[in-house]
Amino acid sequence: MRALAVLLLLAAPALAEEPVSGYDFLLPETQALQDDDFANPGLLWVDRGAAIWAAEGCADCHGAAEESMRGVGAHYPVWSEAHGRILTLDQQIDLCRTERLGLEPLPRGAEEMTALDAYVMHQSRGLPVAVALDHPELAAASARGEDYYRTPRGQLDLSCANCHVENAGRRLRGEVLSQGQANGFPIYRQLWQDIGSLDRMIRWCHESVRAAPPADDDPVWTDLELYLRARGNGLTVETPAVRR
Amino acid sequence: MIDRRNLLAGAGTIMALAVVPLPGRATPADAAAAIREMFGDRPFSDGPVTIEAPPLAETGNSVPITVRVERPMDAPDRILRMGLFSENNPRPHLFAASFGPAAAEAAIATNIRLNGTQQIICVAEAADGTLIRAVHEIRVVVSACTTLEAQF
Amino acid sequence: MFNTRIRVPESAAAGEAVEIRAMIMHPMDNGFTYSTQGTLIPVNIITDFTCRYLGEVVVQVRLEPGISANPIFTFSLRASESGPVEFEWIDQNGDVTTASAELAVT
Repeated sequence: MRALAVLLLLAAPALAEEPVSGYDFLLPETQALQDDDFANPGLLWVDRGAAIWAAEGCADCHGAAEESMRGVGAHYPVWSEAHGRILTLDQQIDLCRTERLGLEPLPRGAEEMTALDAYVMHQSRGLPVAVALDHPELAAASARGEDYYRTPRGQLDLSCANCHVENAGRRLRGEVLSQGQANGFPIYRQLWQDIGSLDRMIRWCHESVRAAPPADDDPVWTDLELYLRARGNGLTVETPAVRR
Repeated sequence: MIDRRNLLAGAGTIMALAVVPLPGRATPADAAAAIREMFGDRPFSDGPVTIEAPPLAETGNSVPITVRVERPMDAPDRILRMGLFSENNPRPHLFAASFGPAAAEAAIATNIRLNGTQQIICVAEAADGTLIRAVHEIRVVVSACTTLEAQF
Repeated sequence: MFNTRIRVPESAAAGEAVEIRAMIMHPMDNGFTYSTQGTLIPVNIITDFTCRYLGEVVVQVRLEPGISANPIFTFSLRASESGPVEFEWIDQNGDVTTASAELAVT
């Protein structure tokens, strides 16, 4: 049975258009770990997010996250008419914290933000990713994100698309390349033995091709997240996913 | 375009990588020494100790294993403790577990780190002083110890 | 104190073998990884895990850096009377993390 699974992995063609979750590129043991409702290590951070939700006062407006946040994360990033810009889930959460709870903004990459992110996205687990691109700003941002995705960069002169579109399903040394979908983020990554946001993964990918990531305040981060999440429309949210 | 500056920079990078110390590896002799240190020099006998593990682990950072001895916990040769050892990790000890009277079986499951394809050895000590042993090979795609992990 | 997750069934029959799971959030730094500044991250591990039921040891584990991060253990205890199942993790600095749950035995 396992030999068959490995054989199927080896035989998996480069998948062009149809989105395939990173889950399908894992060996059965890693899939089982993700599916394990106790042992999935990402749930440790979901627990932490739940504690922060309770401690910081999110429940004052939103009540129980299991009800109020169900389906919410699956739509992000969204266009915010009130703020006149695109908001990722992280940005939305931080705006809620600063504007409505009077808290200090969290620094980029803070573990508390990733934990909150994981907690909110986890409430959408099992639902299809449904990022809308109907607003002209969203369509333009997604196009900019796709442009970034397809531009070769770094000392290795590789674009994201080189691996994740043209060679998805093929091997890079001992590992099978996935499509680099975002439906499981924040993920528990075995390589890091730690939770990781989409930002962290993008930085790691830049490092892998020996490229400098965009500056922290570069709006392309939002464009890229929008494009990546919309690319996975139709896949189910798997947060917290377990990946290699 | 390869010019002299690029070539030297590249060579410098390769040299820098070469001098970064990678963790050493245990050898089967180190594992045997660790076993002797924990259990003494007694001989091993045959016994129902099993190691359940996937034959192929795609990440050495977290390999699920279960070690089990099929013996009742009230028998005179019930298992008191067991140790798991690695033949190829930088350190040969993986963990040691002892079972108290409230345990239902001499079995425990956890996730271990493996430095590449290797054999792991489980040694269990029974209440009558006998030792039993099992060896299991696990193939590992990506080693836990040699991936020079940055924090990105 | 670190985040923990424990799984103890709410109830069991007397004499039944009951599966217990316990996990703690901890990086289990093995001393071989590097920070972004290129400095070696020193060994930082949980060293001991103990589970007690009605005050008696069920299982006691001595952990080494070869255990994965966020260590999890699955084992089983023999249910006899209703009472607490207690978990204790001690790290290399002697810091203790505890958790417990009640097991009702019918």
